[in-house]
Amino acid sequence: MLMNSKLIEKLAHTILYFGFVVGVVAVYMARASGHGQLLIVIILVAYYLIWGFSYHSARKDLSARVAAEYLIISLIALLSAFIIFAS
Amino acid sequence: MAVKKFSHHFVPHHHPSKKYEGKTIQHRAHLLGIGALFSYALIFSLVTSGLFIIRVSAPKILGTITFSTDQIVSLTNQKRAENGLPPLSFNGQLATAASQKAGDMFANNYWAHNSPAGKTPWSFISAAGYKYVYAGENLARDFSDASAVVNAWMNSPSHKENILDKNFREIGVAVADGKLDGHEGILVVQMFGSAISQAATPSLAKASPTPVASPTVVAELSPKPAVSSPAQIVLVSPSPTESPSLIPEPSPVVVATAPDIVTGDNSSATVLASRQFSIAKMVSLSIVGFIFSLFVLEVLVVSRRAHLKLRASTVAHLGLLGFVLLVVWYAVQGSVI
Repeated sequence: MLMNSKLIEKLAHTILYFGFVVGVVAVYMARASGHGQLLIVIILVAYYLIWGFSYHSARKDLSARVAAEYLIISLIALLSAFIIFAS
Repeated sequence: MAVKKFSHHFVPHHHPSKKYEGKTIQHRAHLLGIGALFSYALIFSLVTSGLFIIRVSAPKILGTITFSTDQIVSLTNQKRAENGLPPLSFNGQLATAASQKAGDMFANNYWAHNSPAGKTPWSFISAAGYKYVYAGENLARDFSDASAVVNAWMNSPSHKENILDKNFREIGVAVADGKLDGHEGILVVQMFGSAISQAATPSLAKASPTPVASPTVVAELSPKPAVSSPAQIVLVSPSPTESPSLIPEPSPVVVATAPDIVTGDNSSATVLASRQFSIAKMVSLSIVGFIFSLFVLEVLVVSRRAHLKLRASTVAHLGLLGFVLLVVWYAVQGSVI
């Protein structure tokens, strides 16, 4: 049971990081377009949020505090991309 | 004791005084608390809106830079010289074509080689009276200096191919400021060409021994910036109907033009708020980098202290912040097509 949950944890994080790797490749491919890169960051942030909420729901530890943490970090990521690519 | 208390701002820890069901509770670094994270987001929002307000109301505060066509031409020729190629001569007709292309892009609000109405780069070149054998176009926008524009083109294989194309003999450049997609910025149009009288390709000379009288046209048809590879050259026969789909211009060239070298037609444009990008990049890297470092510190401390546990969300936050750092670090101002 413990081994199973560890495996699931690893799988969940592998899926998350696979998304980030795809995002890095996509940003590289869209390097000539600031708006394209901004769009990719927005998609990645949405992916991260969905992953976070699903992951913590599955672990049954999704609290308002955890949700707020994910939302604020998403906001920081979005602001960072916005200030760079939409300026 | 004071040092330990101070370290609690940066590393996860236990408060012996605070217990839940007889066990001490693990606390995250204070600087990673919800309140602290919210403060970073607030600082970020204030900087973003501050930059936006300054850009709109007093963009000169963020610096101004003026760059000219002469700079683009000389930097382009410098790149050619570095690659053992002869310099391109400035041509007034190509410069007019470039200027008209820039004006058309602003007027019709598009960022592409072909206009929404279907106008190709070659139609601007022909309309300016330049009778070409080879032609090419590079576009750039929103850069704050001339060398950044040329470097961006050199970093793009198709644009580099144009700059280092040995078939091109002449160049015309326009730099213009205006509003594109609701965004104030500078547009750079670089047009390359070889007038029909300058054609030096042996096969072309063979096919058209008397260029003045011959209606032979060799033209590049692709709207993409990379132009003029010999494989793409199309020799149109005296009767253009034989391959109509490959003819870029409706009227075949009948008279070859003499090289029209003009050196004095220099235009320039001023970039306002030129430092905005570097300020934004610095702020982004500082704030995101700081939060990222705190999460890395959390992972390091937890891995060394058996009584601490890694929070499940930390790995996810590290992933997103690392991704953002990477994107911001490699972000370049402006774009080329």
